[in-house]
Amino acid sequence: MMIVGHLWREAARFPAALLSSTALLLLVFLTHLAQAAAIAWSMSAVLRGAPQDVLLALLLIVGIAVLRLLASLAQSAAAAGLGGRVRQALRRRAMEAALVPERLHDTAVRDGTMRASLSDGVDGTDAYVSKYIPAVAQVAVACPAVVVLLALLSPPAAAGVAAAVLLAVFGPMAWKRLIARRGLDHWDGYEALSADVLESLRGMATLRALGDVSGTRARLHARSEALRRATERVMRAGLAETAVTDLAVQGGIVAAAGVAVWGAVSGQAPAGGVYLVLLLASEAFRPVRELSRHWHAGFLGLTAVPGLEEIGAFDRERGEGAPVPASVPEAADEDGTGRRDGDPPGGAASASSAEVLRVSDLGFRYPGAACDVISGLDLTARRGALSAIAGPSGSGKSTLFDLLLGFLTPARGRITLDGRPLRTRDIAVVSQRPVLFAGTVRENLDATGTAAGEAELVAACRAAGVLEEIRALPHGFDTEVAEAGSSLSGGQRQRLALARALLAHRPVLLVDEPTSALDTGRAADVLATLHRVARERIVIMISHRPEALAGVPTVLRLDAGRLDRSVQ
Amino acid sequence: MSTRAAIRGFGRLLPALRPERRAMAGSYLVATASALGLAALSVLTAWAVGHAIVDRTPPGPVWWTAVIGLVLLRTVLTWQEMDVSHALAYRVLARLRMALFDAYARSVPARRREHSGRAAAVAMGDIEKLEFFYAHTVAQLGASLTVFLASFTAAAVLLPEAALVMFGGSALVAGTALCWAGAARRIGEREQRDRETLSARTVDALGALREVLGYGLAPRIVAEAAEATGRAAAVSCRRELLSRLSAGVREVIVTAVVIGVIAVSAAAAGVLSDTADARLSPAVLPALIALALAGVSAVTEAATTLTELHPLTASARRVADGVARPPVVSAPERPRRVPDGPLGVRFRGVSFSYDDRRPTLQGWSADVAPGEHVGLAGPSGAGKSTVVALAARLWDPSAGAVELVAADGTAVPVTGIDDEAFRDAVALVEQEARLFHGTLRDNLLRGTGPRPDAELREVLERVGAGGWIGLDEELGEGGVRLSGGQQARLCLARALVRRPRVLLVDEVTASLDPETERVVSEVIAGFDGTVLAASHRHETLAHFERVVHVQAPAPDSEPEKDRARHPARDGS
Repeated sequence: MMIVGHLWREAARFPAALLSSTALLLLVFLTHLAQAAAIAWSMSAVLRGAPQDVLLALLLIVGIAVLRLLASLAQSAAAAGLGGRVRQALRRRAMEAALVPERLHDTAVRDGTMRASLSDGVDGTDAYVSKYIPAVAQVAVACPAVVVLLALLSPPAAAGVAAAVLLAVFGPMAWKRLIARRGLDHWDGYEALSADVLESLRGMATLRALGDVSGTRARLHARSEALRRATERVMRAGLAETAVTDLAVQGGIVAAAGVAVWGAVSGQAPAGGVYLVLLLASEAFRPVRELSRHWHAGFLGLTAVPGLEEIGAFDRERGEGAPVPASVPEAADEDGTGRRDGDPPGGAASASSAEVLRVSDLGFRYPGAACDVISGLDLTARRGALSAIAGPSGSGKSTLFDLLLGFLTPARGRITLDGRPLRTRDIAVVSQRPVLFAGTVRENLDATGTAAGEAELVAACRAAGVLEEIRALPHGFDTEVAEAGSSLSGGQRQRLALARALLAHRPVLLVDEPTSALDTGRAADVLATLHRVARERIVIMISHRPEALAGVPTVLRLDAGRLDRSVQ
Repeated sequence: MSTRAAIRGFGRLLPALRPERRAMAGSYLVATASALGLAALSVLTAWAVGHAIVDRTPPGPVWWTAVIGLVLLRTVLTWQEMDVSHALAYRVLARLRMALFDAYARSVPARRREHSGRAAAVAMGDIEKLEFFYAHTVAQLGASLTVFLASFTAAAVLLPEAALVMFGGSALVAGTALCWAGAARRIGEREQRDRETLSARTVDALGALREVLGYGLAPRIVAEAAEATGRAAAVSCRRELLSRLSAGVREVIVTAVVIGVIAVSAAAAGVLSDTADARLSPAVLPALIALALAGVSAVTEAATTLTELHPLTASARRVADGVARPPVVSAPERPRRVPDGPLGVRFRGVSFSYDDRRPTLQGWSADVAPGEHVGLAGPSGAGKSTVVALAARLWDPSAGAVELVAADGTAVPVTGIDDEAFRDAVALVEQEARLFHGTLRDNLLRGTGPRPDAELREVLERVGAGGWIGLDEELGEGGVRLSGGQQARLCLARALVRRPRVLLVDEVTASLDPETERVVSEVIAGFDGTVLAASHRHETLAHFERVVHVQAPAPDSEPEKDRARHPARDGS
């Protein structure tokens, strides 16, 4: 018997499902006991030569079998419900923990690892929760009960059975630590392979172009073999449990048989009693055998539990929908931080327009870096005219965007919109390499669910200069976009992202190199749109293209994390 | 899906067992010995009890030795059986994983694109699900059959009518393996699809994390995942109920067999009627029942195994389909040598279309002379990237040919060149080039032999990346901390490290600032070899000796007709 505390606590949060699945399991067990009694009765009736009793006993057996079928169906439904709810809770919390800004800048995190935990890891807990936990409860209640019954009939048989049950249940705990340790290796191997598989699938075109398919194959093969070895090791330890259980069960039954035979030969017990002792002894091990079977089905899934714990799938606070501590305006004003997105789905901006975005004395340094990426940065962007930031690659533009969006927490300085702290939901972004979701063009455009209707969708696409291309797609707005938008060209993606940003109705629009993937004609259209939008919203554009900067009244030059003003 | 199709699906997975013949035989022997041992144990026990009750004779020392020996033997065999069969299964799974990778390496990117999240779900989750098939099916079904035959024969010797009851019951039990099979397979398909969808959604959300956070989509994505999990739980509940139901039906049949055996043996023992003479001693009755139970239980176990297979059919088919994915480029039967010296690239009447679109290229021709630097111009979406991808042999054209041309005019079609030799000669910097998890050095050396650090640093210097990054720096998946421009420069450096003779570039200057753009353009201009570079920017194209144009085919051309002529090799 192995107790995984985390999963027991999760199961205990659904007491009705837990109780009903356990109670029904005990009811099923009772029908087994009743059947044993009925069989013993029928056999002694055969021996006594009482045909009436034989028939009655057989009818009883059939009735019990039907009752058991019904009870076990109800039990399965209850148990599956329990497992489903726990999986749902775990997945919700693990996903919430995965979709956080900290992941954006962490070079150690791998999407494939997270994918494995969120899907296979969470699903792996099901067998333990829905089957094993009720089975443990059954062992705890049913085995002692049968031993007591046996003791009434034959104390020596009861003693033998009790000893065997104890061995079967507690014997495997001797190598619990070993299983836990090997389990960690197994899950590490699974995650590592999963990460490499996803990465190589995503980058297969690059791998082929580099001629690195065979190198990648060798790496994956090494990972795959490591996983296989780790699986075999954890399995050997886990299967020893099965062997010990089997030894105890068979040994216990033989011991009970020996006692019964001795009783029969010495003539102390009636025939029916002897059969009953034997059948009860066998029934005493039924819960133990079930426990062992469910262990076998579920133990590999348990190796994911430490991984899930690490992600935060068992942290209650996050999962309960407890509001993320909202930043108190005064406190936030002091350092400009504490902006976290607790937005409701599709959270529309509080106000669709704002006057001025102010950044003052902003400073930031990546953990472990030697110097600041951004230091002493001041910036004022107003509604009415486009603001532009120029600067060489790697001068801190991406970092500045992430600071504005609240994905990074500044070391110093503050960022305000009309005097209050800027929030993520005030900003719509068009990044340099925008990512689209797998889904239709329409779903991608109306990501926040705020678009008023078809007319607005069309207008936004026209403004972004992508309408004609969308209409040329096989199903127009309902064309399915491939993963990450890879079925569209870079330019198309960028203009779709611009249309998406326009449709989000947010007071601040951040645009990173909006013309980088466009030809001259289209670039001019997009710029005209940005100038027009800048009359209603605060628009900040990062660009170093002379043609994009032409006609922009204020161009700020970002250099090594500082801004210099240059008015054209 | 019909039973026949399901059997075919699993049949396609059997060849993976071929190298495991010996292990399979061993697994069968151990499983059979273990099951026979268990049957013998219960029959012996019942025999002793029967004799003790009826004849008042205790079993002798032989019995005790046999029984204790069997208990110990059974313990060892149980463990051994599990160990052998599981180790075998995990070896097969490891082999399948690599077969699946090979298939994807031949077929990705396919013209009809498959989501990597779905493919990853198959490569990891579905393959793991097949553990049950490989560990518990073939050898175990054989063992069950053997045990059934043994106990049937023994029962027939003791009391033919009891054997008949047992046979009838077993046939019924075996029949339950097909009960609700269609429903179970449909449920399995639904579960498989749900798992894939969840995986794709997760990968999407993680890949677009910036957008997800920026637009506040996280709560919606979480809610959708929770909802999907709820629906999946309802589906798996239905699966549980079906398997419970068929198990319950089997239990009822087994009970009926027990009753039948009791009834016929009671009649044979002369208990039920006073007239008949007793053909069977009541002392044998318990042993006979134990024997019947052992036989029927073996069949029950086999039927349970088959029942558990139904929901796995979808996974089996997905894996088998994945392994059998058609390649997007054909491997040459007799590879030709790549000519020495500078190489040119020639496109002769090349056509290409993505799966569900009208043709991107139709009968397009162009010639890049050895050593020549040529720019590729055309409006967004005109097919520039497709031309570059065809030259890099990510796909084969649906019509026409791409050739490498030597200085003396010898032309070798790229389809006739072995992949390794081709990659040595031609390098590609894609618009969407990916940096991989690992250090910068790991990335630069991907697909090349060892290179001294000094050489790597020199290349980094050339692309203007000498100052801000070290060779030992961890880039993270997709170069998380780097801007688009930085990534583009590192990808260019990675291509240069390969010392190619033909350099193919797709929009690499798009996201660079003017200064770096100048540097990169100079690097490409100074490249000692052939260059074909797609760009929409006049400034970039101005650096080239010659510019060729790509124009999308007129929209009135008929894609259907085109596809009919060149059957699309889609990869899904």
